Amino acid sequence: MAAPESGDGNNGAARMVTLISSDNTRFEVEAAAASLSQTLQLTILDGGGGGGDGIPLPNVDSATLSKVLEYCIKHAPAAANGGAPNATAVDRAELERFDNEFVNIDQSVLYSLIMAAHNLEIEGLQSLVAKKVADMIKGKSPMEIRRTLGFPDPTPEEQAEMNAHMLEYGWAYE
Amino acid sequence: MAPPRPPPELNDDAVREILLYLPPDDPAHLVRASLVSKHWRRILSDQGFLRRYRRFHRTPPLLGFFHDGGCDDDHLHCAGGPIHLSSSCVLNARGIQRACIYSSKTGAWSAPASVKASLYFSVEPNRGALVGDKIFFTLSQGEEILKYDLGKQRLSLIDPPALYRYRLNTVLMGSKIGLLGLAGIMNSESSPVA
Repeated sequence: MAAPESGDGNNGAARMVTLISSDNTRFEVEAAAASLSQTLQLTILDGGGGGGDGIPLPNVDSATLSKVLEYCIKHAPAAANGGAPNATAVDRAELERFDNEFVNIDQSVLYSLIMAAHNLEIEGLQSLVAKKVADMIKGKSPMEIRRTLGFPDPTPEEQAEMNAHMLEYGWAYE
Repeated sequence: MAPPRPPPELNDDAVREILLYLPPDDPAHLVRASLVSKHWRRILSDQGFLRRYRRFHRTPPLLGFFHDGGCDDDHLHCAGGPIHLSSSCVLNARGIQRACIYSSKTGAWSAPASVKASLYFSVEPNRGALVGDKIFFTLSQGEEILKYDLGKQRLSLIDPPALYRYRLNTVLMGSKIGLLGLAGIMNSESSPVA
């Protein structure tokens, strides 16, 4: 059992917390990085997630969680600076490069990232993935958008409704 | 490649966030997105979302979709017909109302038409009516009615009947016989005039 007051930022070692994915993998990460999640922030402030306890995340699998934490670890220093007013142009460019590369991933991973970003309320990540998805769908037809996002094929009823709407808004497809 | 199993549906917040980033330069993006599913359509027709979208992109309010003339209200008989999309940008400081029309024929926005209106007027979206080739909107608080002539691409103002000035809840209605209907609420009683 770890004493909750163990990590307070005054001693050298950064406070660590443990997050447990839906498939029971344990991730140890700096509290500052995990705190980018609004959902986790309060628990962590209350001293949760330390020692052998860990915070269970039943909605996030390990593949997604490791991706999410990659983002959090990279963005934590800038976030700790309160939006990094004193960040250099180089720092900002580096974060931008990281972000661009970060979302350059398979669409099914992107989809789980959207869900996780919203579950965990990580604002920057929410915007980042939303922007990427918007980029992916902006030139596509409704049916292509559904496929891109892995929606199940429409039921005959839905299909009929889509057809009717497409006839009505035919100009949007030219 | 399709994901191995159908993913759980995205929640409202996640969908809103995605739609927010669709660029405003081409209205077709939003139209196509609105056809993806009932869920997306519901979000895209939500006034709260549209306000947020406009603030985010600093775009003028979208006043509505209109079919070109000669079309029944149910739109079933004019499938595929051209559509005008109307937009207005309201410059309150100068008291000038401006409107552009997106034409499905040319795929481009028209040059803006403008009219001098008094200070502090703003257009009320969703209170528009199409009569012939003219679109009418009430200006804030029903003090005046804004008229846009699709053919001439000209904006002008008309005065509502004295009875209806300064009334908050006036509603305009198009009619198939070329008359503009106007209804206002007075002491909780509806009193329509033509």
